[in-house]
Amino acid sequence: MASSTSNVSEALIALSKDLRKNPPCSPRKTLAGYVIAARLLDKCRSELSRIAGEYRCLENSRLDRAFLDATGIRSEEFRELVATGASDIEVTEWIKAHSKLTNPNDVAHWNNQWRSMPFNKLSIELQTHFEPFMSQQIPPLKPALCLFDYFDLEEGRL
Amino acid sequence: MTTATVSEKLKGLALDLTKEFPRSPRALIGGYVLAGRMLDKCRASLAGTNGEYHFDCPLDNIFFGFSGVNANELKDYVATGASDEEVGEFIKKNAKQKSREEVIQWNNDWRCKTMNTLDIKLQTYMEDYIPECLPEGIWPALFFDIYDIEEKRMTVK
Repeated sequence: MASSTSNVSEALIALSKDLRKNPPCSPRKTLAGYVIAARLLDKCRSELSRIAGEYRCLENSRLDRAFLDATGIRSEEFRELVATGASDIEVTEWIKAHSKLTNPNDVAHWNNQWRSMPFNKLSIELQTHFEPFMSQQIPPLKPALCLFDYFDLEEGRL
Repeated sequence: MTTATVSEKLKGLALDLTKEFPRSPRALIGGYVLAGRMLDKCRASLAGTNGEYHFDCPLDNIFFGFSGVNANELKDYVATGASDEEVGEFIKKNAKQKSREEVIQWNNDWRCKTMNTLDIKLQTYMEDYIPECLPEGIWPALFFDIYDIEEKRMTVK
C-alpha cells in the first residue's frame, strides 16, 4: 500500500509529477538501462505523493509487471526506496544492484522486444483490453504499430 | 451465384467507387477488420458502382475464410439494404467464431501483418503492385498500409 501523506518525504514531493495534469514519461525512456522503468518511477513517486490520478504502478500495472517479472525486483522494496525521496541516480544504482537481468545482451534484447512489441503478440487479456483503442486506429489517425505507440499516442508524444 | 436483387435502400447506401474509395481494411463491421471494406465493395457491386473494385476478391476471402460467412449469402442479405449494424449482426450470427477473443487475436494478426509474413504468392504480387500504385520510393511497413496509402487515408513522407 502507498504510504500515508504524513510519511511522504519533502524530497519525494519535489520529485513527483502531478499526473492529474501531465502524463508520465514514455515507456521508451530508459532508467538503469531498462525501458518501462523511468515511466514506472514517475508513476510510483506520484502514487506515493497521491497525485497519480488514474495511473497505476508496479503490481497494479500490467506494463510495470513486465519489468518486475524480468528483473525480479519486488514491488514493496521498490516502493520503500522511492518513498525515501531517492533521486534518479540513486534509483538507478538500486535497480542495478537488485536486478537479476544484468547481461547487457539480455537487457538489450528485452528492451527491443518491448520497443517493437506488436499487439498480436500480447496476451489475449491485454489485446482485449486494447481492442476499443485499436478499433479506432484507422487512418488518417496514425495507427499504433506496437504497444509503446499506444502510450505515446494517448499521451500526445506521437 | 447470388440471386440478389437490388433494393432502393441498398442504392442509397452504396458508395460510387468510381469516385470514392471503400473503407480502410482496418474498419470493423461485426467486430472484424476487413469487413467494412468488404461491405463497401459488396454494396457497390450490387449497385453497379464498383468501378475497378471487386467484391469476393482475395482480400475479402481472408475475411470469409476466417469467419466462415458465405459470400453469396451475405451478398443476398446486403442486397436488401441492410445497414452496417444489421450486416454486423448478420456476420456475428453466421460466423463460426464463438469467442470475442478469437476475433480480436485475428484482428491484431492482420493489423500487425508485415509484408514478409504474407503468403508468398501475395508477396510476389505486391512486389509489382506497390511500385506501380504507390508513390515512388514508398514501401509500406504493414500490409494494411498499402490500401491506406494508395487511397490517401495515410500520408507518407
